[in-house]
Amino acid sequence: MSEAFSIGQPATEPIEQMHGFDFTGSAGEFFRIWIVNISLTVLTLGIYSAWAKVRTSRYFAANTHLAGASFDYLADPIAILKGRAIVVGLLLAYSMASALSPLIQAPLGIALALGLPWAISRSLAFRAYNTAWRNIRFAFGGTYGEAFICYLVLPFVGLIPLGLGYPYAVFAQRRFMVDNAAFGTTRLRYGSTPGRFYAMFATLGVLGVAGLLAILVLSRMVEPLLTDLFGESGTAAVLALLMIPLYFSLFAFYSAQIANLTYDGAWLNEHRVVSRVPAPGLAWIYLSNGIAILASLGLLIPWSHVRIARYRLSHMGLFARGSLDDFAAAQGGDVSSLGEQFGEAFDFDLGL
Amino acid sequence: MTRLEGVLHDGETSRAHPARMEIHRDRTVVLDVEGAEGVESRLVLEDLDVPARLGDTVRRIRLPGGAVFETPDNDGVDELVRTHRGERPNLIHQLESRLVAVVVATLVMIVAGFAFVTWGIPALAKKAAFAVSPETSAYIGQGTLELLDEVMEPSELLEEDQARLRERFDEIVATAPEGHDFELVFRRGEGFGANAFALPSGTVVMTDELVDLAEHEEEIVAVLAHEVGHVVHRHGLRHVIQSSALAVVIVLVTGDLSSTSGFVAAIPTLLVETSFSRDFEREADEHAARYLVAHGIPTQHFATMLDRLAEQHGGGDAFGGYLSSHPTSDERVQRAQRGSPEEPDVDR
Repeated sequence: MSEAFSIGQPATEPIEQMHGFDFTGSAGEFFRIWIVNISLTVLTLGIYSAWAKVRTSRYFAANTHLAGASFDYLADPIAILKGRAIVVGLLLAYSMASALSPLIQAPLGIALALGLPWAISRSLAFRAYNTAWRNIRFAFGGTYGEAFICYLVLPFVGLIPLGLGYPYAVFAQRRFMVDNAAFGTTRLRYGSTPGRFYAMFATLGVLGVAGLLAILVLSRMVEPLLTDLFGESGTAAVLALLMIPLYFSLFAFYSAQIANLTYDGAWLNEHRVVSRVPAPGLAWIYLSNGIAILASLGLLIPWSHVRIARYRLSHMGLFARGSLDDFAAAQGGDVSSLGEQFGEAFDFDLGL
Repeated sequence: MTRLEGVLHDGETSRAHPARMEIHRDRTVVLDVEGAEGVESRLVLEDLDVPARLGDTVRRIRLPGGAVFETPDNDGVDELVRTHRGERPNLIHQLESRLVAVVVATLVMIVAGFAFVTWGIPALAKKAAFAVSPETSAYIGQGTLELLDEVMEPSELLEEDQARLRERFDEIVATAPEGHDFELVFRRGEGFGANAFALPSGTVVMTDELVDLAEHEEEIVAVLAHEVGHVVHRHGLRHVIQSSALAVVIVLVTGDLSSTSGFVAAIPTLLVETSFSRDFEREADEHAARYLVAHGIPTQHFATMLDRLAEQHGGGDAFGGYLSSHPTSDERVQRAQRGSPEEPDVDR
């Protein structure tokens, strides 16, 4: 079949094709999975949460389609359970310590900070290794040293000249995430520039200041009216409510832009990742999700997750030059040693 | 015979091979794959690793050697599992596909979640807090007084007034259980206005403004007894335990620590935290009322003082107290006037 197609095309000129990501999960189906997950998690005093996590991730991966095939999530729940036990322990210890004494809190904080690059590279590796497409696993090879520089050194150094170095630190973190990732034996190559990060942070700053000014002007206008209605403390609360849409807009802008700056333009051989998630649409989804979740006492949480995934993925794709059939799996030996290495992996969502 | 149509991914490259799997009654499996070499085409049923069904997502049957046969025919695979392997269908999927199970689970979760957060966590925290020694409980919030001194000024009250109030304080403390290191200190409250704080160590901080606000000494005594109640009932430690437990519950329900859910979770967290705090206030109020009654001091003084404080801190509350860390002052005044302490939960 493929020979018949190539007759009309010179051999040197591969076929270019845009493959969009497609999300097929449904809110109703995921709601059932979600509520059973929570029920069993509670009944088992939290132990089932690791299996719940695998089931949820498998559901989202299996409903994410690219070029006729869906993704797969392969993590072992036991590995996740171990990681979770450590995370919950640390969370408890830290929040107890912060109330107990600054004397304990400081060394614990430093230890946590030094562990952060390790946790980040481990969790990226765990997620990559346990994600597959067409039965080929992803991989992540970032080291502690690189993560240490990207997540601890650069952000602090970047803050010194009036925070001007900070966008560069974020750029370095995103480059670290993409450049160290691989699909089978094929490395990804990062496709963005520091300039685009500076532009994003500048826009974010302008939007934030403009939004705050708008709220200030608005509150001056309606303040007397509100004080009549709600009293002084009520007015403060109502004005604080106005901050919520602003927060959601800024958060959505950042999270849409950061996803685009991470993936858009990344190279996988001669194929190119496309990510053009629009910030206004995402802001609306975040805001309406937040309202729906509160109004439904949390019952619409699964609906909101499905909605976000569908929206994001509908604006992402892979611009392929030539066939997507020729990626090779990493060598058998490498995979199994990697697998052992991640046996005790840390797994927690860092919102990356 | 069961026949499944699908694709085969050999695990070597990303090429998809159209494939068909036939499962025969004699437990042999024949795999017919287009264009794949090196994939064993004759297998037995036991070679197949069949995953549990997950909604209506594709089924990926793992074969020996790392290849995967992928089929959207979920019913066909379920039949394979049931008739050929004689296994029961996956329990989790059964739960998920039964509407009654889902509805029951939903209702049970809402009730259980509400009950656990409102009664379970406080009850467990109380047990935990009283399991440790008062000295450990007092360890919470060390350095808070130093912190308060950054924003408060030294007291300008007359030394004799301070001494008289300390005497009254010592009378209250004499009725408290052993182990706490009680001390009464006075500060000019500045931004805090008329206020009093109890530190878990047993130090009670009272502002000059509060002393000035009171018209009877008994009104101050009532406030002191309330603050001692906070210490005796170990509210500092219990608050820390309850907040930590609540954070863990919220992470478990929302499933992640990322910032979207963090923000959405902030409002329920605030509501629950303030409800915890109101319960502590009620408990301290009862402690105060009990002390006043036992020592023949009219509880009316407590009610009057609460009224004065409410007036001082600015009028009515539009949200009926749901966003407040203290019960509405009307409620507190009524309770104090009744003078008969009740269990805190009865009134909610």
